[in-house]
Amino acid sequence: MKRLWGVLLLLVFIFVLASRLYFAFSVPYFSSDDAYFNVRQIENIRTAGFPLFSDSLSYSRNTFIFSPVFHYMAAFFSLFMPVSFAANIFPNFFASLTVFFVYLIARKITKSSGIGVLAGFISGFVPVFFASMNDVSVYSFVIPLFFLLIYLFMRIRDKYFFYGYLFLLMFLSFVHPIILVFCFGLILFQVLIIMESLGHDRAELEIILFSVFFIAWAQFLIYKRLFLFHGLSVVWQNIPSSLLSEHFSSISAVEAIYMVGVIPLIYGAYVIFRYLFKEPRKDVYLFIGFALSTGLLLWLRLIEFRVGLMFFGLILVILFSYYFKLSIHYIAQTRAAGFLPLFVGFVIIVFVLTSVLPSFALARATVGKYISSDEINALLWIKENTPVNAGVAASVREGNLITAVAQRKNIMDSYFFLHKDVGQRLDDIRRIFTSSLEIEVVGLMEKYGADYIYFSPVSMNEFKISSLPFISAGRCFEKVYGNRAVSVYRKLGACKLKVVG
Amino acid sequence: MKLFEKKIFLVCLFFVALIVLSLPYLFRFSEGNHVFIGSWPHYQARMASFIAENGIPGTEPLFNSPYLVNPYHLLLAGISFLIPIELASIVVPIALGLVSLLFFYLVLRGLKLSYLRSFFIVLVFVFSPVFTAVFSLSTPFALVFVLLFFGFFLFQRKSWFFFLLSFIPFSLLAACGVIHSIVLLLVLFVYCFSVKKKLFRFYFIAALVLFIGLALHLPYYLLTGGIGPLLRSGLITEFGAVYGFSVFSLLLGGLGLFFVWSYKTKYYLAYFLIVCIFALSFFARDLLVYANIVVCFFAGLAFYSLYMREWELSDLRNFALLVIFCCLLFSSISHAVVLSRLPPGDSFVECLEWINANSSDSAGLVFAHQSDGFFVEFWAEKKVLVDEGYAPADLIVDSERIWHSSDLKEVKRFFSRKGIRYILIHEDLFSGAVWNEKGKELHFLLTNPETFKRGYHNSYCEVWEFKGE
Repeated sequence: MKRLWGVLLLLVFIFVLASRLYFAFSVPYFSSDDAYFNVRQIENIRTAGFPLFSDSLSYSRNTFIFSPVFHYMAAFFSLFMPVSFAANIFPNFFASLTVFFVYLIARKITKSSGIGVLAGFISGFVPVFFASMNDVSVYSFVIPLFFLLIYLFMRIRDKYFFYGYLFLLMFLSFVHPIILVFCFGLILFQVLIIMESLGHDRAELEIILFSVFFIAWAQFLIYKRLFLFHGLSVVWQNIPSSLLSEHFSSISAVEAIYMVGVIPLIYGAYVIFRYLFKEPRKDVYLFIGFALSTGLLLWLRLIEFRVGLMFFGLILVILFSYYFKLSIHYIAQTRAAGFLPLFVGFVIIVFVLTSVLPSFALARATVGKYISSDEINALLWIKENTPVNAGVAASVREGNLITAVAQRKNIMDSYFFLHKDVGQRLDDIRRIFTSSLEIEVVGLMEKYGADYIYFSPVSMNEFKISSLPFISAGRCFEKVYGNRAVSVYRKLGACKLKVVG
Repeated sequence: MKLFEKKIFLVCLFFVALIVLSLPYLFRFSEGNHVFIGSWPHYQARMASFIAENGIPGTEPLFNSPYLVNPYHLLLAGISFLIPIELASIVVPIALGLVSLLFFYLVLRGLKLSYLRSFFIVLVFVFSPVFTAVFSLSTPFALVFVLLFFGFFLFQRKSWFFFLLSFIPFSLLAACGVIHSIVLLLVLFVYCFSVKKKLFRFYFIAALVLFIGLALHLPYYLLTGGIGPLLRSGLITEFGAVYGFSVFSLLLGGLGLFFVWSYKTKYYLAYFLIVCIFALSFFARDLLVYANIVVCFFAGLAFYSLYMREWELSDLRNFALLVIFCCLLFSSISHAVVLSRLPPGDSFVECLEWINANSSDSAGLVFAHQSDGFFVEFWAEKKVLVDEGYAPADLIVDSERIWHSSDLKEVKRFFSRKGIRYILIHEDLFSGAVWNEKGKELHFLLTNPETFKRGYHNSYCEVWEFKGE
């Protein structure tokens, strides 16, 4: 029987991985601008051996402060295959490993391998997580390890798991600041235990104390400069206010439910309610602590909305497994015990309808938004036909594309840290695209050292324009490239802004 | 016997404290900057120099505004007879730091805390960023701590002689400011009330402090409507505050509070005082330095408890203690680096010395950013329009307008009216303090050769002369 569950789990893993890779490879390019930042870092590691901490192509010669562990690991994969392949396979492979870690947790808390496999299966198809298959996202790497860390925490008394926990905690602390969610989760777990007077486990207290200090220390060690530069507002990543609301939530409540999965959400919420108000249970409180910490961070807009939903969705899957165990236990004691297989089948069908299909639909929508070949052709044209030190004005959402594909200087991208003028820059970019005064555009282009304008569907959508308003009026810009979707304009050298008088 | 039970470690701790306090200057010197740190320390140095040369002034020498004599100025002035004031501004706070550390330890022992507990509290205190800031920057806080701890140490003794001796530090402390007087009275009251003795002594001290308050601070308040310059600082040093808490001390302090929570009924007044200090420190940032002592106290207790307790995960014990120690060490060193990079730098001082060397005594004012005012007054020996201490609202508004003005006539008129002779510009003004780029507004107008002439410049700053209307 044990082997059967093992085989089943392996099949689930293969199915999840295959599904993710199918969608990831269904388009030739990556789905987001940020993906190109990561790809550029991976490529640089592969060629030069280290990441780009200071980028001459990013605006104001950007200094990037980030942990490059994810990029190094992806670069390692790229030794055996092209970078674009590695950038797809490595994150998706890791993301699919979540299946195993959620299985382990669910099996530990329900003491049932069957429920563990079911939970593993569900975790593979949390729509918002599944849809990140083409983003080359560090979260694909961090989230599975986060759940492995939780599992190791649950088995902390076992010597090997204890050392495993210490190693993984230290590793993750240096990989990504999202580990702070783990830290808050542990603190809330302890708060719940104190509130319910459930009695302290000294070993747990000790490891939590250590974890909190270590995580805090590691974050301050890596991001000290950012903390000093931005102060407390570092949590909002210096994102300009006009982009901030979109960054933290541009999704409606219904969309959020759809992205998390209806079944895990309803039953996860029920479990939280039941164990929080009716039946205090320490092992459930651990996950309630994580659910509350994620919920709280989402509510306070301290965590990116999609990322928060990924964590929330997966934690709800684990809480759902509690509910499922309770339901099975209850049905087995009634006269309807004979219908138990039917019940399980019904749950799986409902789950497929509410999580697997939405996952596929969301994935299709994500790859549908991919950067088109017209855009890539335009960027490649810029790469081949413009001076190496030329600057290109584009939407902030395409800044990384400009540096990664066209390999030219952008005037703004999605890395906002260590700048005091991001709001002004964003405003100026908007004016470049929307101003009807050519003289104003020339002045702004000179201010930021831009020689070309990359006018794409993204800019049209963002600025709600179909053409550049100032072009028809003036004589300072010429269209140097155009295809069905993209136009590239060049500022004529003779046009310069002079102060007279 | 546990490692730290050997008392030699206490002596070592004093050497560590000396290193910690020297770190900001070690980092600063290693980067080739030899000027003492901070804006307010330059004000203290200017006043001390003036007192050393002319005696205690009735009014602020440059602005003719009311001047409240501060014992720290007298101390610096006295020491400036032995060593140059610039050196005194570096050495005196460090020396005061070591003395205050000794008395802090003795006070803790006087509160019947064991050697090891006291050791851990002092250890956390030494590595707290406030300790580094208070005893590296030459401000009255350095003296305040010594006076508080020394006075309290004398007050704790049974002998009346020591009690009478405590009048000296307490009266000097009361002279340092109203906030310090209030804190002193609250601390003594809570102490006397909690140990249920010496209340009679407390009344004496209260009368003394009240007398000094009425004699010194009340007239000043009536003249100015304020109680003197107050500290401006953020709350958390890791987020850039100069006198704030370290995140790690706060975490450890919270844990310490959790450990001693069961004593809450016995020491309810002390807890009440702590809550008051914390709450009020949001409004009067001078209280942050006192709140930091509280945080260090609880953090030290937590560190002690963690050190002494039997760990269930014995393999984790040493590692966890090491991590906590590293956290404290990190915040201390990191803060020392931040302090070491505070202005002014050598290049900046060169600009100011040029003004000093190239202008007559009667030459007009220097138009400088408010945060540079004390530097100009000390190094250029020139008056500025506004500084951090003298900042009438109308002048602040006027100078803000002029920094951002693109109207040459307006600027010329303003400079003539106010008697401005020099304009001081430096690199930091272009990174957000005034502008985000060069060649804008006033900086653009300065390039007009009929009105302005660049007198001196180096890689960091430039001095422009106003030729007159």
